[in-house]
Amino acid sequence: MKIKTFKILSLAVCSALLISSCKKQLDIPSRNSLDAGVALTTKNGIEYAINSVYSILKRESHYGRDLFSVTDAMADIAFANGRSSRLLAENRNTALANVIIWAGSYAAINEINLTLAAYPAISDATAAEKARWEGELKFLRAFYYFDLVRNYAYIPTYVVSNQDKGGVVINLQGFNSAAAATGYFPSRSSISECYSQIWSDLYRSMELLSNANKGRNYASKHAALALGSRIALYEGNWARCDSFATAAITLSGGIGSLTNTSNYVTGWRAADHPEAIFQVWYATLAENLGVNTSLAATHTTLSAPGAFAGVRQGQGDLVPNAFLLTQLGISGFPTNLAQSPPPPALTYSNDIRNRLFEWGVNASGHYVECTKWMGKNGGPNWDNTVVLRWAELYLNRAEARFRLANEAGAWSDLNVIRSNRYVGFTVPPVPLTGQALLDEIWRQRMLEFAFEGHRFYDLKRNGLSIVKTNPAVNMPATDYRLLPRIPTSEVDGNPNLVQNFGY
Amino acid sequence: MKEENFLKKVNAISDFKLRYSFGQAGNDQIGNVLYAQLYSATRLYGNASAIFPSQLGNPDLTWENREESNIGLDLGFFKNRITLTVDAYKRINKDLLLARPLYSTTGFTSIQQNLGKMENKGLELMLSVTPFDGKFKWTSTFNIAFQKNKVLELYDGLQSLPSDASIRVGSPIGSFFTAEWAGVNPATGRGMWYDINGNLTYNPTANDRKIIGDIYPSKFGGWNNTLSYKGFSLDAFFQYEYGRVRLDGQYQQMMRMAGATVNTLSYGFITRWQNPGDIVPTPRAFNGLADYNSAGWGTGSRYIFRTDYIRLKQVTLGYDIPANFAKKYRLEGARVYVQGINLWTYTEWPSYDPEFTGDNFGIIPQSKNITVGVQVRF
Repeated sequence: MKIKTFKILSLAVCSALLISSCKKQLDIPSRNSLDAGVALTTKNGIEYAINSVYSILKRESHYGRDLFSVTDAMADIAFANGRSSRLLAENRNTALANVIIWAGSYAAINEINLTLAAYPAISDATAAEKARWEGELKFLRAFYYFDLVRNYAYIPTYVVSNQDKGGVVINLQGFNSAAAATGYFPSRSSISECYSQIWSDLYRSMELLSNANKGRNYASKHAALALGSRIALYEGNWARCDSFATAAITLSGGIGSLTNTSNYVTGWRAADHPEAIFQVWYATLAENLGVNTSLAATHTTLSAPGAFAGVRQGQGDLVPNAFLLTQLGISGFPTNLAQSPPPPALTYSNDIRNRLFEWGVNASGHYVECTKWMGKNGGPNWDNTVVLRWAELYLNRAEARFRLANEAGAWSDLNVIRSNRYVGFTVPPVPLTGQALLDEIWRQRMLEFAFEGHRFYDLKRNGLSIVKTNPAVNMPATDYRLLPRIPTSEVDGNPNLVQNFGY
Repeated sequence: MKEENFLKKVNAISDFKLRYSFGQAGNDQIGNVLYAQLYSATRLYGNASAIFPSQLGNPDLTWENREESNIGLDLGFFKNRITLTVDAYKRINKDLLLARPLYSTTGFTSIQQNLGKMENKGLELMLSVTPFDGKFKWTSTFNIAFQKNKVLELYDGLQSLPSDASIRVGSPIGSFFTAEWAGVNPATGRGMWYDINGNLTYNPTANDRKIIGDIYPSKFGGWNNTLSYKGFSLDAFFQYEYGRVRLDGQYQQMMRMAGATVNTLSYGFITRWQNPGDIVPTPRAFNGLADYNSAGWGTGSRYIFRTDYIRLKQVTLGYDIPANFAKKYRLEGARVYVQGINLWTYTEWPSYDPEFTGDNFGIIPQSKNITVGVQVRF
């Protein structure tokens, strides 16, 4: 049924775009293809081209799974139990087991560049439409480049300078001829050049986009401010991080709001998380990544909360390790994590976040699993991926304020999070200071964003070692495996492109 | 040439022919829209259509071009009781219509383009001998073919294809280009590889790759013998192939050694590393598909093996009932025979069967079979 709808839709797009130039289309045999010369000459063509840029974010390699689960497997909070052999190598920090977003991201960036070049010529579009197009495209280009550079290069706050091979390839020209593409031998820009480019796009998108734009499934000024606070945090631009987070927190007419101890759990059970400022949208059931690699399938075997005696739904490959469970205030699980049936009752502390962790179905034993995703959109394995949400704004700002020697401000932001997460929380009379304060901010980030793809980058940008007992890993931040390999096919034959250190 | 005056009177030589040919051909099997730049509408976001550039066209496509030259020699001696046929060929394929890889920073992975030049050379020999040609007749035919291909040039002076570094100027197409397996570290039980300088490493890099071999046999052929005496006849046909290597996907799958919860080959179990000092071919059993901080279990040349074999492909023993005896029973003729297929094979290939094309994972090996038959003609 879904497939049918989709085909009809694609047909409709093509025919809509065809009307303007029938002759050129005559020798194109496929109904799903159209000549590039006419694709971006109508309003619909531009809208559909922008949709494609968003749709790449849905892939397994991006926010379908890897940018969350592969990075969390590499970090120190998770255990890959081998139920389907997935994420084992990533969990052991094996060389080459890392995110692979190079080709997909550059395909998206090329589409952005082509569409940016084409939209000014659309004669029947209003100035407001054109501003929105440019704003969304520039937000997306900043977003894709930021993901590329935070993965394939060092993060500015912690660079191992004798292993630094630069940032990523920056290109702002779309490719539409064989000659240009075959004559292209790009080189890497420096890390700071990459961040400059990202800022220039992001600033432009803030000027052009309205506060909420089309909501949390699309780029908006609110999303740009939130992303800006994260980028500034990674860059070590503390004042900018502080001001962007403040701007996002105080923005009127923005998207969503911070949840508290009473609606935290229901927030996570809803298809649209109330805290989400920007999410990757899986609008139809057919778009879910299935029983092997969707976020729900990766993290849990449960079909519903409490259904540990029921039918197994997903693989449940990546589970919280003992360190994370303990930090979340959960006890009653065995040291090796696998519990033969029946599982005993777990003990939960007053941290509301731990209610999203519970016994899964017996599959080579019960494990305590993360239930942030469990088919919330209305079908198995069907969840949206929240990329930017409110809690991050406070935690970004707390860290930035700490670095700006504003410990009082940091302490206050930290307590915004803690009072909304710990039932019956009272602010301690003696504030934390110095390293203890910073450590608590980092610890709250870890608890808040467990399995949401933050922890690995938080360790990486602060130069912290990845230390795990099971599997036994003690990997300093100087280890070459922290950065992925640039695909060898990109380096072979191109003397301008320098491979990352150690590969 | 046998008809030339200087050979006519040489009785020992019964046939002498020399052949030469040269040809050129084009290949016009070019898809209709490879030249065109296309957008495709096969994506979706927000339950709305999404279009993207799906093909970067190339307006300069032309036909492929092939040049082929052959030289051959037919010789016959002693009323063709001994015959020898020799053929040598050389083919050069130019302007091959191939997907030229692009750096994915362009947003595309490849375009169709006429590129490169490849050479195929070969020599084929067939020797047929009939030592006995009376009541007892024996004919023996042996043939061997040598072949070699290599890439002569790519494009832009490249020495290897960026997307597939195994395609290299001066090396055959179908080569394996990877790091060489160095066995198991006796101290730790971890698998090791050689780096480009011949030193041991746990994590071979791209620079450590080299040509391990290729998937085309350098020599192959057969040997056929036919013996007959009165009503009895015996046919035996051997087939052989040398000089090719293959990745043994079947063996690799069955040697996962605790990498998955399935049984492993007993060879792997018996030869696994267990204690420091063990000198064994199989690394320690390890839950996972790679040891800590090591390249994966199947990396490099570990599962690449030679597929060389000699096989008794077919042997048939038959007996034709004498005609006058058959006539008594109003039969035109009758034959009794026993035939065996694939009865014996010599090979060092670890999996079931060295005679396959493509990937051997999950394929059914050639069966060995014996047929006993009676043919009666009315």
